[in-house]
Amino acid sequence: MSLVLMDKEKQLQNVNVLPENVYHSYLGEYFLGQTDIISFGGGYNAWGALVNPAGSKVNMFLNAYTITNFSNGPLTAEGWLSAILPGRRKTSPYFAAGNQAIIPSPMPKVEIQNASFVSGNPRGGTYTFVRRVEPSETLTKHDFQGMYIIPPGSSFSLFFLSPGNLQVYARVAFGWWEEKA
Amino acid sequence: MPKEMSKQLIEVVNITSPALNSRLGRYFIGQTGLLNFGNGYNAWGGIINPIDSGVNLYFDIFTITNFSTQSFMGEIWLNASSPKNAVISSTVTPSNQGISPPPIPKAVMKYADYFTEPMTGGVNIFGRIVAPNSTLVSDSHNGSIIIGPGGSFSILLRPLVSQYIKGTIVLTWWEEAL
Repeated sequence: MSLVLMDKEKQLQNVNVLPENVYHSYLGEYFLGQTDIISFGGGYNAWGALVNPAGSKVNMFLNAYTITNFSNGPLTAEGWLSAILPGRRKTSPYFAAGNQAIIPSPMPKVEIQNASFVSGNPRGGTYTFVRRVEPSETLTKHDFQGMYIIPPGSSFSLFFLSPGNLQVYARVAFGWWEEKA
Repeated sequence: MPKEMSKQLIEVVNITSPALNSRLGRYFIGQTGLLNFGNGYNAWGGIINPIDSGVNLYFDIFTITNFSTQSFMGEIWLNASSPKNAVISSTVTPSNQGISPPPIPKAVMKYADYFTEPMTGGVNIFGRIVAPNSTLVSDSHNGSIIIGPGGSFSILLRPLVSQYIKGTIVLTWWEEAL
Protein backbone atom coordinates (compact mmCIF):
# COMPACT_ATOMS: atom_id res chain seq x y z
CA MET A 1 0.00 0.00 0.00
CA SER A 2 1.43 3.42 -0.95
CA LEU A 3 2.18 6.13 1.62
CA VAL A 4 -0.31 8.45 -0.05
CA LEU A 5 -3.05 5.91 0.64
CA MET A 6 -1.90 5.41 4.25
CA ASP A 7 -2.48 9.10 4.95
CA LYS A 8 -6.03 8.81 3.71
CA GLU A 9 -6.78 6.03 6.21
CA LYS A 10 -7.37 8.68 8.86
CA GLN A 11 -10.34 9.91 6.86
CA LEU A 12 -11.94 6.51 6.23
CA GLN A 13 -15.66 6.34 6.63
CA ASN A 14 -17.08 3.79 9.03
CA VAL A 15 -20.02 1.87 7.63
CA ASN A 16 -22.25 -0.81 9.10
CA VAL A 17 -22.75 -3.39 6.34
CA LEU A 18 -25.90 -5.46 6.84
CA PRO A 19 -25.96 -8.98 5.40
CA GLU A 20 -28.80 -9.10 2.89
CA ASN A 21 -30.90 -11.56 4.93
CA VAL A 22 -30.71 -9.21 7.95
CA TYR A 23 -31.99 -6.33 5.81
CA HIS A 24 -34.92 -8.47 4.69
CA SER A 25 -35.60 -9.46 8.28
CA TYR A 26 -35.88 -5.76 9.19
CA LEU A 27 -38.51 -5.57 6.43
CA GLY A 28 -40.35 -8.61 7.83
CA GLU A 29 -39.49 -10.72 4.77
CA TYR A 30 -37.10 -13.24 6.38
CA PHE A 31 -38.41 -16.55 7.70
CA LEU A 32 -37.06 -19.60 9.53
CA GLY A 33 -38.64 -22.99 10.00
CA GLN A 34 -38.33 -26.74 9.90
CA THR A 35 -40.09 -29.86 8.67
CA ASP A 36 -41.72 -32.44 10.88
CA ILE A 37 -39.57 -35.47 11.71
CA ILE A 38 -38.96 -37.34 8.45
CA SER A 39 -38.76 -41.17 8.44
CA PHE A 40 -37.40 -43.45 5.71
CA GLY A 41 -35.57 -46.70 5.09
CA GLY A 42 -36.45 -50.25 4.08
CA GLY A 43 -36.34 -49.24 0.42
CA TYR A 44 -38.52 -46.18 0.95
CA ASN A 45 -37.15 -42.66 0.46
CA ALA A 46 -38.23 -39.29 1.92
CA TRP A 47 -37.83 -35.56 1.37
CA GLY A 48 -38.05 -32.10 2.90
CA ALA A 49 -38.53 -29.03 0.74
CA LEU A 50 -39.22 -25.32 0.47
CA VAL A 51 -42.04 -25.02 -2.04
CA ASN A 52 -42.91 -21.69 -3.67
CA PRO A 53 -46.58 -22.01 -4.73
CA ALA A 54 -47.47 -21.14 -8.33
CA GLY A 55 -49.61 -18.14 -7.35
CA SER A 56 -47.33 -16.72 -4.65
CA LYS A 57 -46.15 -13.66 -6.62
CA VAL A 58 -42.81 -13.79 -4.72
CA ASN A 59 -39.37 -15.14 -5.48
CA MET A 60 -37.77 -17.15 -2.69
CA PHE A 61 -34.09 -16.53 -1.84
CA LEU A 62 -32.49 -19.36 0.14
CA ASN A 63 -30.10 -18.36 2.92
CA ALA A 64 -29.52 -21.57 4.90
CA TYR A 65 -30.42 -25.21 5.32
CA THR A 66 -29.66 -27.72 8.07
CA ILE A 67 -30.05 -31.50 8.08
CA THR A 68 -30.31 -33.32 11.42
CA ASN A 69 -29.60 -37.06 11.31
CA PHE A 70 -31.08 -38.74 14.41
CA SER A 71 -29.94 -42.23 13.43
CA ASN A 72 -26.83 -44.28 14.22
CA GLY A 73 -25.83 -44.59 10.57
CA PRO A 74 -24.84 -42.02 7.94
CA LEU A 75 -27.40 -40.83 5.41
CA THR A 76 -27.34 -39.33 1.93
CA ALA A 77 -29.31 -36.21 1.02
CA GLU A 78 -29.64 -35.09 -2.60
CA GLY A 79 -30.24 -31.41 -3.37
CA TRP A 80 -32.85 -30.94 -6.14
CA LEU A 81 -34.08 -27.74 -7.79
CA SER A 82 -37.58 -27.48 -9.28
CA ALA A 83 -38.22 -31.24 -9.16
CA ILE A 84 -41.63 -32.94 -8.99
CA LEU A 85 -41.57 -34.82 -5.69
CA PRO A 86 -43.28 -38.19 -5.04
CA GLY A 87 -45.57 -39.23 -2.21
CA ARG A 88 -48.10 -37.71 0.17
CA ARG A 89 -46.83 -34.40 1.49
CA LYS A 90 -47.36 -32.62 4.80
CA THR A 91 -47.12 -28.85 5.19
CA SER A 92 -45.20 -27.87 8.31
CA PRO A 93 -46.59 -25.51 10.98
CA TYR A 94 -43.10 -25.02 12.46
CA PHE A 95 -42.05 -21.66 11.01
CA ALA A 96 -41.87 -18.00 12.02
CA ALA A 97 -40.77 -14.59 10.75
CA GLY A 98 -37.29 -13.66 11.94
CA ASN A 99 -38.70 -10.27 12.87
CA GLN A 100 -41.08 -10.94 15.78
CA ALA A 101 -41.37 -7.23 16.60
CA ILE A 102 -43.88 -6.65 13.77
CA ILE A 103 -47.55 -7.06 14.73
CA PRO A 104 -49.34 -8.94 13.27
CA SER A 105 -46.53 -11.37 12.51
CA PRO A 106 -45.62 -11.52 8.80
CA MET A 107 -46.58 -14.80 7.10
CA PRO A 108 -44.46 -16.42 4.39
CA LYS A 109 -45.92 -17.33 1.00
CA VAL A 110 -43.43 -20.21 0.69
CA GLU A 111 -44.36 -23.51 2.38
CA ILE A 112 -42.15 -26.02 4.20
CA GLN A 113 -43.24 -29.50 3.14
CA ASN A 114 -42.07 -33.04 3.75
CA ALA A 115 -42.99 -36.65 2.96
CA SER A 116 -41.90 -39.89 4.65
CA PHE A 117 -41.64 -43.42 3.23
CA VAL A 118 -42.15 -42.55 -0.44
CA SER A 119 -41.48 -44.86 -3.37
CA GLY A 120 -39.75 -43.49 -6.41
CA ASN A 121 -37.52 -40.54 -7.03
CA PRO A 122 -37.85 -36.85 -7.96
CA ARG A 123 -38.89 -36.26 -11.57
CA GLY A 124 -37.85 -33.34 -13.76
CA GLY A 125 -35.84 -30.55 -12.22
CA THR A 126 -32.11 -30.76 -11.56
CA TYR A 127 -30.12 -32.91 -9.19
CA THR A 128 -27.64 -30.22 -8.23
CA PHE A 129 -25.62 -31.40 -5.20
CA VAL A 130 -25.27 -34.23 -2.69
CA ARG A 131 -24.51 -34.20 1.04
CA ARG A 132 -23.44 -37.14 3.18
CA VAL A 133 -24.55 -36.63 6.80
CA GLU A 134 -22.75 -38.34 9.66
CA PRO A 135 -24.70 -40.24 12.34
CA SER A 136 -26.17 -38.19 15.19
CA GLU A 137 -25.21 -34.76 13.91
CA THR A 138 -26.73 -31.60 12.49
CA LEU A 139 -25.14 -30.57 9.21
CA THR A 140 -25.41 -26.81 8.72
CA LYS A 141 -25.00 -24.78 5.56
CA HIS A 142 -25.39 -21.06 6.10
CA ASP A 143 -25.03 -17.75 4.32
CA PHE A 144 -26.12 -18.65 0.82
CA GLN A 145 -27.37 -15.04 0.95
CA GLY A 146 -29.87 -15.69 -1.81
CA MET A 147 -27.67 -17.73 -4.16
CA TYR A 148 -30.57 -20.11 -4.84
CA ILE A 149 -33.49 -18.12 -6.25
CA ILE A 150 -36.73 -20.07 -6.53
CA PRO A 151 -39.62 -18.53 -8.55
CA PRO A 152 -43.35 -19.26 -8.09
CA GLY A 153 -44.21 -22.86 -8.98
CA SER A 154 -40.73 -24.12 -8.17
CA SER A 155 -38.96 -25.69 -5.17
CA PHE A 156 -35.69 -26.40 -3.34
CA SER A 157 -35.67 -29.93 -1.93
CA LEU A 158 -33.48 -32.32 0.00
CA PHE A 159 -34.22 -35.91 -1.04
CA PHE A 160 -33.20 -38.70 1.34
CA LEU A 161 -32.21 -42.08 -0.06
CA SER A 162 -33.18 -45.22 1.82
CA PRO A 163 -30.06 -46.55 3.59
CA GLY A 164 -31.10 -50.21 3.12
CA ASN A 165 -33.18 -51.99 5.74
CA LEU A 166 -32.47 -49.54 8.58
CA GLN A 167 -35.31 -47.17 9.54
CA VAL A 168 -33.94 -43.68 10.12
CA TYR A 169 -35.18 -40.29 11.29
CA ALA A 170 -34.10 -36.88 10.06
CA ARG A 171 -35.27 -33.28 10.17
CA VAL A 172 -34.59 -30.37 7.85
CA ALA A 173 -34.60 -26.64 8.65
CA PHE A 174 -34.46 -23.62 6.31
CA GLY A 175 -33.86 -19.86 6.41
CA TRP A 176 -35.07 -17.78 3.46
CA TRP A 177 -36.45 -14.44 2.40
CA GLU A 178 -39.16 -13.48 -0.09
CA GLU A 179 -39.26 -10.59 -2.57
CA LYS A 180 -42.10 -9.55 -4.88
CA ALA A 181 -41.68 -11.36 -8.21
CA MET B 1 -1.82 -1.56 -6.67
CA PRO B 2 -1.93 0.42 -9.98
CA LYS B 3 -2.19 4.16 -9.35
CA GLU B 4 -5.36 4.66 -11.40
CA MET B 5 -7.14 1.88 -9.58
CA SER B 6 -6.29 3.27 -6.14
CA LYS B 7 -7.85 6.59 -7.16
CA GLN B 8 -11.15 4.92 -7.94
CA LEU B 9 -11.29 2.81 -4.80
CA ILE B 10 -13.32 3.94 -1.85
CA GLU B 11 -11.99 2.29 1.27
CA VAL B 12 -14.37 1.99 4.20
CA VAL B 13 -14.21 0.35 7.60
CA ASN B 14 -16.86 -2.35 7.97
CA ILE B 15 -18.28 -2.23 11.49
CA THR B 16 -20.52 -5.27 11.99
CA SER B 17 -23.80 -4.75 13.82
CA PRO B 18 -22.60 -6.70 16.92
CA ALA B 19 -19.40 -4.60 17.08
CA LEU B 20 -21.31 -1.35 16.59
CA ASN B 21 -23.78 -2.19 19.33
CA SER B 22 -20.99 -3.30 21.67
CA ARG B 23 -19.35 0.13 21.24
CA LEU B 24 -22.70 1.68 22.11
CA GLY B 25 -22.85 -0.41 25.30
CA ARG B 26 -26.01 -2.25 24.39
CA TYR B 27 -24.61 -5.71 23.53
CA PHE B 28 -25.04 -8.33 26.25
CA ILE B 29 -23.84 -11.87 27.00
CA GLY B 30 -25.83 -14.15 29.28
CA GLN B 31 -24.99 -17.61 30.56
CA THR B 32 -27.28 -20.07 32.33
CA GLY B 33 -26.22 -21.96 35.43
CA LEU B 34 -25.20 -25.62 35.04
CA LEU B 35 -28.21 -27.47 33.66
CA ASN B 36 -28.91 -31.05 34.81
CA PHE B 37 -31.23 -33.17 32.70
CA GLY B 38 -31.60 -36.52 30.94
CA ASN B 39 -33.57 -39.67 31.77
CA GLY B 40 -36.81 -38.06 30.58
CA TYR B 41 -36.07 -34.64 32.07
CA ASN B 42 -35.42 -31.53 29.98
CA ALA B 43 -33.57 -28.25 30.54
CA TRP B 44 -34.13 -24.75 29.16
CA GLY B 45 -32.51 -21.33 28.92
CA GLY B 46 -33.74 -18.16 27.28
CA ILE B 47 -33.91 -14.39 27.12
CA ILE B 48 -37.24 -12.72 27.74
CA ASN B 49 -38.13 -9.23 26.54
CA PRO B 50 -40.47 -7.73 29.19
CA ILE B 51 -43.71 -6.32 27.79
CA ASP B 52 -42.85 -2.81 29.08
CA SER B 53 -39.14 -2.86 28.10
CA GLY B 54 -39.33 -0.22 25.38
CA VAL B 55 -36.68 -2.13 23.37
CA ASN B 56 -36.43 -4.80 20.68
CA LEU B 57 -33.89 -7.59 21.17
CA TYR B 58 -31.63 -8.40 18.21
CA PHE B 59 -30.39 -11.94 18.63
CA ASP B 60 -26.79 -12.72 17.70
CA ILE B 61 -25.15 -15.98 18.87
CA PHE B 62 -26.00 -19.06 20.93
CA THR B 63 -23.59 -21.62 22.31
CA ILE B 64 -24.56 -24.94 23.86
CA THR B 65 -22.01 -26.88 25.90
CA ASN B 66 -22.35 -30.63 26.42
CA PHE B 67 -20.32 -31.86 29.41
CA SER B 68 -21.57 -35.44 29.05
CA THR B 69 -20.62 -38.45 26.93
CA GLN B 70 -23.94 -38.60 25.01
CA SER B 71 -25.38 -36.34 22.29
CA PHE B 72 -28.49 -34.33 23.06
CA MET B 73 -30.89 -32.09 21.13
CA GLY B 74 -31.02 -28.30 21.36
CA GLU B 75 -34.37 -26.92 20.09
CA ILE B 76 -34.57 -23.21 19.23
CA TRP B 77 -37.91 -21.64 20.23
CA LEU B 78 -39.40 -18.20 19.57
CA ASN B 79 -41.87 -16.77 22.10
CA ALA B 80 -42.20 -19.90 24.27
CA SER B 81 -43.30 -19.35 27.89
CA SER B 82 -40.80 -19.99 30.70
CA PRO B 83 -41.07 -23.36 32.49
CA LYS B 84 -42.64 -23.09 35.96
CA ASN B 85 -39.38 -23.69 37.83
CA ALA B 86 -37.36 -21.12 35.84
CA VAL B 87 -34.98 -18.86 37.76
CA ILE B 88 -33.27 -15.61 36.75
CA SER B 89 -29.63 -15.88 35.70
CA SER B 90 -27.15 -13.57 37.45
CA THR B 91 -24.37 -14.19 34.90
CA VAL B 92 -25.38 -11.50 32.40
CA THR B 93 -22.94 -8.75 31.42
CA PRO B 94 -22.40 -6.07 28.79
CA SER B 95 -19.65 -7.02 26.33
CA ASN B 96 -18.33 -3.45 26.60
CA GLN B 97 -16.62 -3.38 29.99
CA GLY B 98 -15.34 0.15 29.43
CA ILE B 99 -18.58 1.93 30.35
CA SER B 100 -19.17 3.03 33.94
CA PRO B 101 -21.62 2.33 35.44
CA PRO B 102 -22.10 -0.85 33.39
CA PRO B 103 -25.22 -0.81 31.20
CA ILE B 104 -28.03 -3.05 32.46
CA PRO B 105 -30.04 -4.99 29.87
CA LYS B 106 -33.81 -4.67 29.72
CA ALA B 107 -33.99 -8.36 28.72
CA VAL B 108 -34.06 -10.97 31.48
CA MET B 109 -32.22 -14.27 31.15
CA LYS B 110 -33.90 -17.27 32.77
CA TYR B 111 -33.12 -20.95 32.95
CA ALA B 112 -34.69 -24.14 34.28
CA ASP B 113 -33.59 -27.74 34.50
CA TYR B 114 -34.87 -31.13 35.51
CA PHE B 115 -38.47 -30.61 34.38
CA THR B 116 -40.82 -32.75 32.29
CA GLU B 117 -43.60 -30.32 31.33
CA PRO B 118 -43.84 -29.58 27.57
CA MET B 119 -43.15 -26.07 26.24
CA THR B 120 -46.25 -23.86 26.11
CA GLY B 121 -46.74 -21.22 23.43
CA GLY B 122 -44.22 -20.25 20.81
CA VAL B 123 -42.80 -22.18 17.90
CA ASN B 124 -39.75 -24.44 17.53
CA ILE B 125 -38.10 -23.07 14.38
CA PHE B 126 -35.00 -25.27 14.18
CA GLY B 127 -32.74 -27.57 16.18
CA ARG B 128 -29.21 -28.84 16.57
CA ILE B 129 -27.70 -32.08 17.82
CA VAL B 130 -24.97 -31.21 20.35
CA ALA B 131 -22.06 -33.68 20.23
CA PRO B 132 -20.58 -35.15 23.46
CA ASN B 133 -17.88 -33.18 25.30
CA SER B 134 -18.11 -30.19 22.99
CA THR B 135 -19.41 -26.65 22.67
CA LEU B 136 -21.61 -25.92 19.68
CA VAL B 137 -21.23 -22.27 18.60
CA SER B 138 -23.84 -20.90 16.21
CA ASP B 139 -22.94 -18.54 13.41
CA SER B 140 -23.64 -14.86 14.05
CA HIS B 141 -27.30 -14.19 13.32
CA ASN B 142 -26.37 -10.50 13.03
CA GLY B 143 -29.74 -9.45 14.42
CA SER B 144 -31.86 -11.29 11.83
CA ILE B 145 -33.99 -12.66 14.70
CA ILE B 146 -35.77 -9.78 16.40
CA ILE B 147 -37.78 -10.21 19.61
CA GLY B 148 -40.34 -7.51 20.46
CA PRO B 149 -41.62 -6.65 23.96
CA GLY B 150 -43.48 -9.63 25.44
CA GLY B 151 -41.51 -12.15 23.34
CA SER B 152 -38.66 -14.53 24.05
CA PHE B 153 -35.80 -16.46 22.42
CA SER B 154 -34.99 -19.74 24.12
CA ILE B 155 -33.38 -23.14 23.75
CA LEU B 156 -34.86 -26.39 25.04
CA LEU B 157 -32.36 -29.16 25.76
CA ARG B 158 -33.77 -32.67 25.25
CA PRO B 159 -31.92 -35.93 25.86
CA LEU B 160 -31.78 -38.44 23.00
CA VAL B 161 -30.85 -41.39 25.23
CA SER B 162 -31.55 -42.28 28.88
CA GLN B 163 -28.54 -40.98 30.72
CA TYR B 164 -27.90 -38.02 33.01
CA ILE B 165 -26.52 -35.02 31.16
CA LYS B 166 -24.96 -31.70 32.16
CA GLY B 167 -24.93 -28.68 29.88
CA THR B 168 -24.97 -24.90 29.72
CA ILE B 169 -26.33 -22.30 27.30
CA VAL B 170 -24.86 -18.90 26.42
CA LEU B 171 -26.91 -16.32 24.49
CA THR B 172 -25.76 -12.96 23.11
CA TRP B 173 -27.92 -10.08 21.88
CA TRP B 174 -28.22 -6.34 21.60
CA GLU B 175 -31.06 -3.98 22.45
CA GLU B 176 -32.40 -1.02 20.49
CA ALA B 177 -35.05 1.43 21.70
CA LEU B 178 -38.40 1.22 19.89
